[in-house]
Amino acid sequence: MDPQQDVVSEADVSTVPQDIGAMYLKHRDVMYSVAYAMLRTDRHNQAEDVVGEVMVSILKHPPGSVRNWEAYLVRAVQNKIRDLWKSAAHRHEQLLLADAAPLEGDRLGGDEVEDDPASEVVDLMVRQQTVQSVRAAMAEMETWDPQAAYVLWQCAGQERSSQQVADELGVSSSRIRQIASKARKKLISLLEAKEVEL
Amino acid sequence: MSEETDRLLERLLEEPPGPQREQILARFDADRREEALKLLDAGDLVWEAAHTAPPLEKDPVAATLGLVPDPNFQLDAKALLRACQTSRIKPTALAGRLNARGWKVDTSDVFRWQTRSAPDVPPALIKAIAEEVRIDPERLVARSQQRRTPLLEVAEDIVATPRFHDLVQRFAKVRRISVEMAESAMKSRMLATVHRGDMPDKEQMLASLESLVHALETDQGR
Repeated sequence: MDPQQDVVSEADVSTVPQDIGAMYLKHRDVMYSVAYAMLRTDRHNQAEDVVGEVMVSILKHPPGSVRNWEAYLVRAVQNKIRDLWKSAAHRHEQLLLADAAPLEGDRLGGDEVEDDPASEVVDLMVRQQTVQSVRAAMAEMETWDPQAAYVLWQCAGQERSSQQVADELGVSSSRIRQIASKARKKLISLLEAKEVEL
Repeated sequence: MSEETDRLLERLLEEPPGPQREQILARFDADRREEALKLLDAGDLVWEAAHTAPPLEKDPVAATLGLVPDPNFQLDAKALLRACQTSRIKPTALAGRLNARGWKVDTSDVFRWQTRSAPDVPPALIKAIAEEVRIDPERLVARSQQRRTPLLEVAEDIVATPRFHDLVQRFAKVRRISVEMAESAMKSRMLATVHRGDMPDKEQMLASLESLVHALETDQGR
């Protein structure tokens, strides 16, 4: 993978080179968030490995000057994960086609994900802004109803079952589901008050 | 909503993304599906908010980049003050130059670094400071006593091996940094792995470092 080729256009180039370490420090949260979100249902790849491989790639081929490092790093993570998916799909299809005669020139892999990469990066970055708003809204919820915020964080954030949280808090699982449902609705109203659309 | 729909919604909200969730969702009529989707998205956003970068000291990538402060690679206040005087760079100018390179630094930070110990300044930032005041990074580093912790002891066996020494030399060369800074980064990386909860044995840790250095060396001149 070479993120430089994929991300940096002439318009992105500035004259002041930035330290890669400083840029990673500034944007590592968004890199991990994007990786976790994209890999949520992927049991074969881990966000930590993806972020590590992206940074090794950037260290090997430093991009020079980049105007928008956040977009550059988000794109790099996105491309890395797609490369992994493509090679996995490729391997999978090779296995399926092992007994069949493949058509010459067939290109295996996830071509369908290449529609409009620039707008997808923008979408990912907008989503990350929404996630930031969710963190703020959860902090707000914590002040007026700490139990609701805790239950929602445990059930939705940590993916613990209502029974596990019920056992911990000494209430019934149906009570936990009620609290979590109410907390979700409150979260939506807090986000709508901040003009964040779901 | 009927009791049955309520129960279905409760089941749906407990389901992680995947085919099972989609199957339950398909059982809602159009109006209720919209509301259910909103509630699902709220939960997914909470999941995303809960999954972000690990703390710096548990992040092997940050360690590799020299971003984890190291008690054995600390900024020396007097050395920095002397270097700034020699190169005639005022705190405001140094802060400005570091900011231009992407570091979040205030003039007050530079004053603080010049007057007392700064355990929060990571090796990579010391390197950037050294480049701006035109001095070798090692000349800005205060030598301190190694702080012994159980985790450090885990890594000590590895640090004593000739293979680790060789890896440090190769890492320094490929990253164009000093051997001291390379050693700091490699040690921090090992500790980040241990902090993260993995407890690899000596051979696995060395293999992991070897693989990192090899990846950086490969295709370097492309």
